[in-house]
Amino acid sequence: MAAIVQNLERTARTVLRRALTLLERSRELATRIAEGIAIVARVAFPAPPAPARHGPVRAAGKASVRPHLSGLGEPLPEGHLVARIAGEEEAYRAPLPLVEEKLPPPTEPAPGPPPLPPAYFDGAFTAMARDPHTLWVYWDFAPEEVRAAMESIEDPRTRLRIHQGAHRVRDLDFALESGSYYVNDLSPGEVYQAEIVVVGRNGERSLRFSNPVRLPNIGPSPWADDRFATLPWDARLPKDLDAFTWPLPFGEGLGSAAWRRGGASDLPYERWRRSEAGSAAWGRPPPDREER
Amino acid sequence: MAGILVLHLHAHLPWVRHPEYASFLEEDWLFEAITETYLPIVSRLEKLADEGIPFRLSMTLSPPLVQMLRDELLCARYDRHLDRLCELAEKEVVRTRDDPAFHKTARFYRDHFFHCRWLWHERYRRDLVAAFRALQDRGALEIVTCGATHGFLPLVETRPEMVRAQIAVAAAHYRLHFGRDPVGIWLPECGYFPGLDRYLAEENLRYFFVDTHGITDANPRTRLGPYAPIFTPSGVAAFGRDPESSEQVWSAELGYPGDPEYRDFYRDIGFDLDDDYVAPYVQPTGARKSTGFKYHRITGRTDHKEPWDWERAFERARVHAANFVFNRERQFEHLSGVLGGRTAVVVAPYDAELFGHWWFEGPVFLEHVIRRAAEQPHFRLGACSDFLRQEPTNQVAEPPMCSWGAGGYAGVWLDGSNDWIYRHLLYMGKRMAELAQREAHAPLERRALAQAARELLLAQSSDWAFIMKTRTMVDYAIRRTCEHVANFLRLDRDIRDGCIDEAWLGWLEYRDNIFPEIDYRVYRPRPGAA
Repeated sequence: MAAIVQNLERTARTVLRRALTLLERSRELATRIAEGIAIVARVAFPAPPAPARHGPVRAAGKASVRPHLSGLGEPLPEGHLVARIAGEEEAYRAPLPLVEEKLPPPTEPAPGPPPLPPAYFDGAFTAMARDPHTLWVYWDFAPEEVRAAMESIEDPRTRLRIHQGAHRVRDLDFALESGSYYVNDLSPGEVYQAEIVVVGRNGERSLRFSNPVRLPNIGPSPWADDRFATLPWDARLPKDLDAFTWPLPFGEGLGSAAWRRGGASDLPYERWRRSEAGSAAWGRPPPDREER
Repeated sequence: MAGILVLHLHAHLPWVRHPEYASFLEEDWLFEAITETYLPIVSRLEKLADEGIPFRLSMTLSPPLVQMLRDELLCARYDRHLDRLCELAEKEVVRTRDDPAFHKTARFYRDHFFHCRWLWHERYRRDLVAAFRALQDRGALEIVTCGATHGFLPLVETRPEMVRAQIAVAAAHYRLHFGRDPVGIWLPECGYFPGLDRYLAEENLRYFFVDTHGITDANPRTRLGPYAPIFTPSGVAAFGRDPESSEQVWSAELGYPGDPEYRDFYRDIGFDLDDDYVAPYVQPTGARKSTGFKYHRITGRTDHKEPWDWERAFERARVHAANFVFNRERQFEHLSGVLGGRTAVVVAPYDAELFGHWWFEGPVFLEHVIRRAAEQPHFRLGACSDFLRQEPTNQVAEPPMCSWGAGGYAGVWLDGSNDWIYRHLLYMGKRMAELAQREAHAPLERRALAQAARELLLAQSSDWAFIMKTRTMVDYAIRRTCEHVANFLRLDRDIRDGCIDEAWLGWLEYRDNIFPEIDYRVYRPRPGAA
């Protein structure tokens, strides 16, 4: 009897806690709506693309047969391995429907994946290197933050500013609602930082800076400095080793470790090129890699 | 001995396991790879080792693949799959009895699939991980680990906890299944970013692989190109892919697998024969799929396909193997001059599923490469650790951010089709790092935290972004990503609210049961660490 009462109490407490949380969230939402500030950030978070075709949907629980409609709704699963092993173009060239473009349009709407939140409002503003010329940035600001940045700015609009060290290298007008931006035609090997600025007729205000990102360099490095280190296989690597420093830390079984300049300095630099052949790159001509 | 040829096979499949369905088409990825790649390769390597042929190959077995190969549900489904193949093989021998062009091939398939079934049940007792492990213990194989769920690491660089978890969970999983520490790692998609080496050093991983430009574009400039590894600042060695040997196998124009004698990948009786005949062997809905019975050869760039002759095709694989070894001999001869007498290393990595699944004769090619390599004096087949033992002095340099995908950077996993993933992943990483600071005393909370870690890892698999980019099974990839994100968010909320739904958690643990050993505290931020 005591156990039953205890269980009931626990259940009641859980229900109460959940109800309070919901109440709190609905209050917060009501406040935001009342303040009318959710317009900017609410749509700033694009959802995943809606599935165009029949999805693998069937209620969980009792085992069932997944309704897969190859030839009618979904490409054949071989497509993934073909694209991975033989390349994306091969999957398109294949005589079987391995990619969506080879299928007829769907005859009925497909049930979508579970919905995800449209935004987290966590203040994220993150930059990533996509390739030597392209930076991708995304943001997810709380409406309050956007509102504060726009306050007292007349006719405010947002601008994405790209910095390279102390230099401002790009100013781009953009829609905050888009949630992300690809910044193209940047210089390989350089460090960039993005900034979102609110600009108006009477001035501007910085909203936030992203993390700095170094784009990868292309081609052999202009930094020519031979440093060779000897790290015996049987020794455990010392913690926080920095093999660029001199001298190398000894001890921890690395007694015979050595560091020296040169070692192959008498050899000419060879030109080697990357082969584009391989996973996901079947048949593309190799890029011309010239030394700087 | 002029050099070491590191022939590396990267075996990986994404985690696909659906107990909620009696049959699930994407599980065929595993079943086809077992029959066409893993069984033929492990049995041929074992035969060579038994014959005393001196060789050592390098291989990745990714954690999701290891876990799936040891999952009882998937093994039971594979039993069924194999039985159906054997049943169809017997029917095929009867069906083709009056057709000399195909009867020989039908008999070949019957022998082949029955042999596979014997290998699976009798020889390896349904445990291919143990079979590969035994080869490693005999010294014929060096198995390296991979990212826990093959997450592409350069795109989560800003969340150190996510990077560390991919590596630490994989290393722990490796220890559990292979009974030793991993010495090397295949970074998912060869994705590297400056500073990643610190995380690898934390697990005492001694080497990893990058694409050629990871070495040639390193800072400072490297002297010896991809034919010598470099030591990254933390002392972990980076080995670069050799462009020449890669092209000979991978390339559509120049590569061996496109030879007209080899088996055509697409022509399959699952599409060619009558509905009534193939119905039990295709999809339960009646929709067609590949069965594994393919009777035609590539023939050429034409829709007309000639019958496949397995004996001629296998002979061609032997010739190609001899050509491959011959070219490597010349390459090592050339390199010994260029590198000033230093031991050269040539790293030739391939997706393991290329051999057998895509290129059916690939395992025969591999066997002959190993045999021929043992007969010549210019190089030996070895692992990266063999090279580092022999040549412990190497240049210090750092690769730039790079990958082995199309374009060489992150473009495959970050474009308009899949960039929406990352805001969710990075948010999850942030929340997980916060959750991991909790000291969970109640078993239910510990379970929920561990499951949250699993859902985050599963959402990170680079395969989903790759599929979205290549437009293959896009719905499935989107669904998988969204499900793992949604599961995580609900777990996060429930843990914080202190109202964990035990029944739902139990269902998740049953379905997404990868890494049963996971410790959620792996996500705890470590001040001062990498």
